[in-house]
Amino acid sequence: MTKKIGDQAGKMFEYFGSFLRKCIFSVLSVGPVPDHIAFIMDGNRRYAKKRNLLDGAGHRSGYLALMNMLKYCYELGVKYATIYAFSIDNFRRRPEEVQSTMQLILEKIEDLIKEESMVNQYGVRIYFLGSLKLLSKPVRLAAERAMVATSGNSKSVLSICLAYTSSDEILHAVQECCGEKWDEGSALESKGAGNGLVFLKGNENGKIKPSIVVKDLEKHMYAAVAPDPDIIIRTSGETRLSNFLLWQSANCLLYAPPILWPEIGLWHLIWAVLDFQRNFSYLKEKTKLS
Amino acid sequence: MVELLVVLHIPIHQLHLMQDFLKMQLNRILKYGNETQELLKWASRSGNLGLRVLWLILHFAVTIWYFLLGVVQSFESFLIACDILTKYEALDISKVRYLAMVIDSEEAQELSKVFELLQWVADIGVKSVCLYDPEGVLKKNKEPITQRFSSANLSEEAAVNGRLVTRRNLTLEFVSFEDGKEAVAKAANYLFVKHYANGTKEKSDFTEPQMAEALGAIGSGGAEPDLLLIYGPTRCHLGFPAWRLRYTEIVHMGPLKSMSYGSLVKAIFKYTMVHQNYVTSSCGTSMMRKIDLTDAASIVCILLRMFFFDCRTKVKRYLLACMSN
Repeated sequence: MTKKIGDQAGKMFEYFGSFLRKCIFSVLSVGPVPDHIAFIMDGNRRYAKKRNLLDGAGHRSGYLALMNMLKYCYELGVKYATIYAFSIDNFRRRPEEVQSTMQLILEKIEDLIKEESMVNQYGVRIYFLGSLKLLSKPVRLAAERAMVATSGNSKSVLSICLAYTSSDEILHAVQECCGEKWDEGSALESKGAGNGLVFLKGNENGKIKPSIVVKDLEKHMYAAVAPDPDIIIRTSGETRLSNFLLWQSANCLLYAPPILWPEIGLWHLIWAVLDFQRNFSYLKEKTKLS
Repeated sequence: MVELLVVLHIPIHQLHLMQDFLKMQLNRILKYGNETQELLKWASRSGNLGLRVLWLILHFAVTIWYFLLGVVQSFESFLIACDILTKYEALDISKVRYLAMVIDSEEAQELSKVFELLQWVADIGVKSVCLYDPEGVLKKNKEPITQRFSSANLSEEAAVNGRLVTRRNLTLEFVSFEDGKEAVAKAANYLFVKHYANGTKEKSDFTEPQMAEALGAIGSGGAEPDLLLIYGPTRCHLGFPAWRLRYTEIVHMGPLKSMSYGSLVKAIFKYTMVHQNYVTSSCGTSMMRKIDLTDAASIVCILLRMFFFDCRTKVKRYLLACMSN
């Protein structure tokens, strides 16, 4: 009996919270709403230490905080969200920690694919960005399954950066561009066009005509599935980008609240959006110039 | 006026700092006035009137908050510059091997401000500075800036790529937007020519050292700064070369016209303390919080002391001096 009352009270609280959020978001929507928000989820381990929790419990709390933040973003009308789940640098942590994090990631990817998950509720298409070949086979396969399972969704996009660093992304784009140019050149050569290898041997002056441009590189970036982020939120007060979206963050507002990731809430998102709205015209001008 | 200064024992440099403090508040009011105009323009579009009014009220509250925060931070900078908050004298500048500064291109046109900032940086003891602005205004004004800060000595490297200039104690590097994405495109072409020129497609992937070498070869190499200070209206790095920003601490200092020596010292001090603590115990946030709380406590103590002791004594002395005349 008491459990039923408790459940009902919980549901009422949730409806009230949802109604309040709708009111706040309708006020915020008067101004420009960011199209793409990126999150660096820093502070899970420190949270676990602070609360004297077991190893891994910080990451689980972090996952709950993430689901809430994504829900708020999609309700507000933010179409693209990117999260920094696991960096290539994180492979250097203790093997047991990497193993438990990978186990958690596998578990959560499976949860996301389920019918009743938030992903299907908000029509979210999932992409995994990064050097997925560095991941273990079960995680890589789960990631590929998630991408296929959500390929029919088109309302919003969630990009999960796994085994990702910006420098690796740039190198990968350069590699792909070089491979593409080589293939183009070889194809022209085989057709007998004769000028297929001009950019290898150079023209009469010995100068090489540059053939790879910024647009080619941007086409091959992992993060090309979404536009450049409008806001990057990094928790725990750290002011570094830690090799995250460095190429894409040229005209992006950086927001670093001093709370740990599992402590993040609606208020921080509202503050970030208000900051974005105050700086919108300046950032838009800078984007046009570049 | 001179009598007032003598009786109140206010050093002239502190008076200049007070003037700067007041000018900064005026600039701050003008800046928020402009921002409010932008917000009003946005709100005047069609839509529910009630929601628009609520939105404006929300933004007005945020503006008031930032204004008050700005006043407190300016006052703190004033106290640091007057050597009243003495804790910042223990700054260990050796921890900042390479400092970068991103300056908004419009503000960078005011070269006198840039000179003043660089002079402060040199006075603090920083040896190498990278100056970035997206449109290359600082690069175009490389000559007057380097003349101001350099002797006749130019390194060989400067003669080759024309970007690095060495002064006796301040090395300046000038970077712009084209040293970011476009430089990576040029480096990609360099790598393509170098590794595919023999006519066969190489199987191995490019590595980070190869990329760094390619960037160096095309004249856009350079070290990764330890600390990046942004002088502009927004906390945004405006396209600083991605390859050099990986683990750099980024601090927003506000617009260049509101710059202050005290805030520069505080930002560098915080970096050295947090970096030191990050290395030893990975509790950077708690250390930053401690610095802020200690500063807040110091400011309150100084204000109380000034109100209850110093000011009243000095005002009494001034009145006595006037009466005796």
